[in-house]
Amino acid sequence: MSDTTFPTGGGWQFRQPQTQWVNPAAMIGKSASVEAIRKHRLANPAITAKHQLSTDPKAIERELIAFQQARGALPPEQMPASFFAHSSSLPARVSQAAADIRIAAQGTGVILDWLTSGGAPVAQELANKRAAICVGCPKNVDGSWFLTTAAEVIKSTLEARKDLTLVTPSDAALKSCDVCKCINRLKVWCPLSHIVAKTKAEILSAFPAQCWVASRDA
Amino acid sequence: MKVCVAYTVVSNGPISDQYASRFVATWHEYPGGVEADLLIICNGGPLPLSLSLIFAPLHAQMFPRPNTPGFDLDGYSDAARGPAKDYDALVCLGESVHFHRDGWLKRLTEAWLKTGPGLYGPFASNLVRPHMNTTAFCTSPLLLQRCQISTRDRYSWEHGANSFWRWVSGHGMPVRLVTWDGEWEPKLWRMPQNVLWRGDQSNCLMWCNHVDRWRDAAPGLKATWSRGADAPFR
Repeated sequence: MSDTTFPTGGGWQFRQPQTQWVNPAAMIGKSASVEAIRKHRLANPAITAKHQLSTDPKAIERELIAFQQARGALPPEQMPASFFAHSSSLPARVSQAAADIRIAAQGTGVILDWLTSGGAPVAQELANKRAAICVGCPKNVDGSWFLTTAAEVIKSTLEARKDLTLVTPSDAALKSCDVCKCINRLKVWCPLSHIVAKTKAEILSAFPAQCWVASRDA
Repeated sequence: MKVCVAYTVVSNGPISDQYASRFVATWHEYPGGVEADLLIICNGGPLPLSLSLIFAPLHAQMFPRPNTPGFDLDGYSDAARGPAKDYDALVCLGESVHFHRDGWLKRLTEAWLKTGPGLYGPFASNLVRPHMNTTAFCTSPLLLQRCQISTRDRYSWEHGANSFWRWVSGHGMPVRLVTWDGEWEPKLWRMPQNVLWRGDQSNCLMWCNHVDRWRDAAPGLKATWSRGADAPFR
């Protein structure tokens, strides 16, 4: 766990039972907490010696983690920092925009990764079929503000691929996918195997049943 | 006044994408109110593609650098010597910083224009020692260049006996907590309502992980925490 993440319920809490001392640096960070405990023990040499308390930072860090585990703020094994839930006082639409920006970046990354790695597009017939499905899909929507730049990035990347001419009869009606936030005009050309391999599972599972990604081009 | 906003992102941080997308969404939703260039300090080198694309709508300049022991503080210091060296003011923002109201940057620059180059920030407390939190602060790149206090010990740099804010103040320059309703000298940092770890914290120009954690803590813990923050100035 990094020094910028905190166990739930008050951070790096610690109480030295022999002195009733409580760590004042619990919400400053793990390193600061280790140092505070060490200083407290060094400042109380008699008690430290009597109870054989360690002043070694590594040992103190282990004690600190064990303390969190004992109070249920950390699981027995350390977990990635993402264990603490993000809550927010922001309006729902702003929190939603933040989530959508992350999904859009991931979706744009899938297409860019394909384009820049020299990937070949799917056959014209398959792209046409996919495009027709997208046009009839309720998730084919106008993109938000943050998709404008993504489209520009893809456009400039596409210009470097002189070998590609990616046009379907449905292009004028293709917008952005409300699930993956991808630019549909390009996504319909991307090989399914690449999309499936590079898209997060939670997004893959959110495509509607009629979607060509969900049906795996069936 | 030329202003550079430097935002820290950890290149392979476990939840960097969550922080970054919240920053981008709130940057767009709540404009700073004055013109500024945005610099993304990429601690740990160039960002992975999907993380860098989060910032694409903001047309920011990327500043990839190694993740050194001083973490964010080293990033600000390098920026002050590098891409941000010609700006009048450098606004240094940690990864969890995000905005909740229009005009946050305008407030910082208003304070600066009133009292001159120094150190201005939205968060301050007396926990451990009186200090301005380095999660977010605005200063001159020149001051960051000239200050010889080592950033290796980040906590000492922030709230040690010889911290950056004391160094700035010791050189006769203003150090102010800036809120929506005023600018506060160090001895008055814990006077205003709804600042960090008090009330609904709405008087903070921006929010960060410290704001979130206190808001979500149990009442008893919040009280203990606030007592520490409100300890006498010394």
